[in-house]
Amino acid sequence: MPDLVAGLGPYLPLLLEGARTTLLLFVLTLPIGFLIALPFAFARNARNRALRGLGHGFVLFFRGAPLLVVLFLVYYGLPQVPGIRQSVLWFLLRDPFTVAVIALSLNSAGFQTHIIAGALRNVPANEVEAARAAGFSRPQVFRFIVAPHAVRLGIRSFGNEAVFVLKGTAVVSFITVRDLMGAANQVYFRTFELVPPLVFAALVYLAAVFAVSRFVRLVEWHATPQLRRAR
Amino acid sequence: MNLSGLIGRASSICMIVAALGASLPGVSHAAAPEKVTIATEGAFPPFNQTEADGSFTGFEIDLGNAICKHAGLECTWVKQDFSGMIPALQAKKYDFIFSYMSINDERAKVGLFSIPYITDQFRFYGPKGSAVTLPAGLDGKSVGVLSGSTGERFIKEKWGDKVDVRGYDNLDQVNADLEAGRIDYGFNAQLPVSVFLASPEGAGYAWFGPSYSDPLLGRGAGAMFRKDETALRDKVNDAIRAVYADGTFKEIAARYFKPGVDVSAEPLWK
Amino acid sequence: MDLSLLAFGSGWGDALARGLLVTLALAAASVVLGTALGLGGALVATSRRRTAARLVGGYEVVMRSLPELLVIFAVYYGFSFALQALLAPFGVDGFVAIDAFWAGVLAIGMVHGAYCSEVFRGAFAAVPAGPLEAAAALGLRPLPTFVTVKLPLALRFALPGLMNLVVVTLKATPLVAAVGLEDLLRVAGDAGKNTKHYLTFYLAALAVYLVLAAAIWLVEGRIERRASKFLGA
Repeated sequence: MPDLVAGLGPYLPLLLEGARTTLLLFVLTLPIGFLIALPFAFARNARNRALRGLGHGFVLFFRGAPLLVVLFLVYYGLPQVPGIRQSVLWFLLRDPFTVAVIALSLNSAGFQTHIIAGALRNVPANEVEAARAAGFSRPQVFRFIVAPHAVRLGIRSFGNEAVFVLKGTAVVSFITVRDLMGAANQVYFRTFELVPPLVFAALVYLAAVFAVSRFVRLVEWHATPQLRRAR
Repeated sequence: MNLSGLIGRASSICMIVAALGASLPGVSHAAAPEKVTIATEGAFPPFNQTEADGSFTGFEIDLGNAICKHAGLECTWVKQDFSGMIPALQAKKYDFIFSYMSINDERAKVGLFSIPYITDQFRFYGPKGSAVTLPAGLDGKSVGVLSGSTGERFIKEKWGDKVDVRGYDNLDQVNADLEAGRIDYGFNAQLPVSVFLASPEGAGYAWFGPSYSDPLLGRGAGAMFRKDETALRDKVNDAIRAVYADGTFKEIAARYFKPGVDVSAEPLWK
Repeated sequence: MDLSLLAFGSGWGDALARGLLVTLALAAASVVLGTALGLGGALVATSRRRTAARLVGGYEVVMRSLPELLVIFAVYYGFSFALQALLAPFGVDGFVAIDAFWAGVLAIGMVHGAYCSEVFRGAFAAVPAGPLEAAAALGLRPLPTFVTVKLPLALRFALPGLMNLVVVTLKATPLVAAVGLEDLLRVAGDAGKNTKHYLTFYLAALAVYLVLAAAIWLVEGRIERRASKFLGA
């Protein structure tokens, strides 16, 4: 490890800056994607057919479209829409980093909608009925019965999605954002030494995934008191 | 060494390599090969671009073919993104690069260059009327360059602390972001940019400041080889001199550049 | 939007079709390699060989954590240098290059395999004990039991997950263009560069990817319905 760091020498700041950008993209994309996903998840489970179709279409689009295409279309395609450069939206679309966050969040929202809708659907109906019979109001049912249950059901898939988001950040250098992967590549193309920058990048990604899996376990531990007692 | 043993060994290696999906067109060769593959970006008009049938056209393609003819080489072009061109040369994906690779010290350390076959200078360009005094006016501005180009290196080295340098994969992307207003200026070799400036999309844009020549930017563009390919390099050098001498160079240049545009690299090596 | 640009013959239709073939071939070869790796990995991971199972587990974590782009670069550049170093002592110093297509198959297949291994492990665990006990009671030996009872049942459980991974892998194929493969998206980009109509070509490519994904999900639904009917589940 010290050898690796020494070998990178003058390029270490570049790689650390890239790692910072990657992690920043990651921590912004997940919650923003979640906020976008929530209404679509409710639409996906709604009684209304049109709403259900909307939620379904949203999920299918982002589960089927390659991230690179989404990124290109948002970055190079949207500025060509007439009037968009005069709109308030342009304030967001002007900056490559913001575009990366938007594209990654939308993409992740497609997957998160799928996860959230599935988890909400699979909350046992009898528990909801029992709570209603016991005099819980609708918001109370959601807060105390549905939400905790859905978290239990969805947390694993959510953890997998978090890893997908992290890996997805590696394509943002295609729109001039210099993330960890882009920085590693640049170091390779400048030094013609393949192993040090790639290993450095790989270790950062692995560490981030490790942190994610720890977090998932922590949430699981808090969300499933019955399993805790069984141990 | 025992010849049949060597052949046997080599063929079994061939089979292993083939099983791995690798290509092994021939066993080692001491002299320069008759058949060579050349790398082009295939996306840098008027020097090189890709056509609908997958073929390549452009000034460098014509010139390269003329050089191959003179050198008695059978040449095949392969496409490679510019930023990964030197690593792929070292990984032996092709024999040499003929794709507007500017000759500078940093690159000369890892490979072997031919004499330059063309020269061009770098310059800033941007929206008309946004004239700046260089370099003071660059403070806090964003400049689009090609990833891995000498232009990128030059700006970062000179004004990297003041300027937001953005690296793009190709010139179209730089121009698209210039049009979208995401960047303030572009910085590139003049000839490819002049294609954009002459197009309807480029009507609102103009050159700024002086043309730069600097060791960091390079001394013309040359064919680039691996360190040990001296024989092939010498062959190509002779062929470059020959196409300059017999008028082929001038004739090809006239197909792609306006009269009066001087791209001759002859002063650099004569 | 000028649709004549997409025409066959005069337009870029032929080139795009060639790119699509490359995309399909790359996805298919990666899926075959990955499924084989995944099945093998799951068998090792569920076996009693502790060390081997740990290694497989480590492989899964690493391959699922690293961005595909990183794996592709490592394979494309790393393999060439490794192969050259390996073959040099044998007097072979010619062009030893793994081409972009096979580098892509290897890289994406390895990632696909890591995900498949997880799906197969889950599927093996989901096979109920009943049929296996019945096979044992009939005196069936372990290998025939595995091939004729356990594997078909596990496949039925694994199928939805596997099909979903096919879509994930299809979506990863454009990344191989970063090492020069002429896949659908790359050709669309070239067509954009040549004609300056980037949007037309990227939207066309997007439509193709969406249709392919929809087709895979449709097949998935069919197979699942048929399998559950067959099993009487």
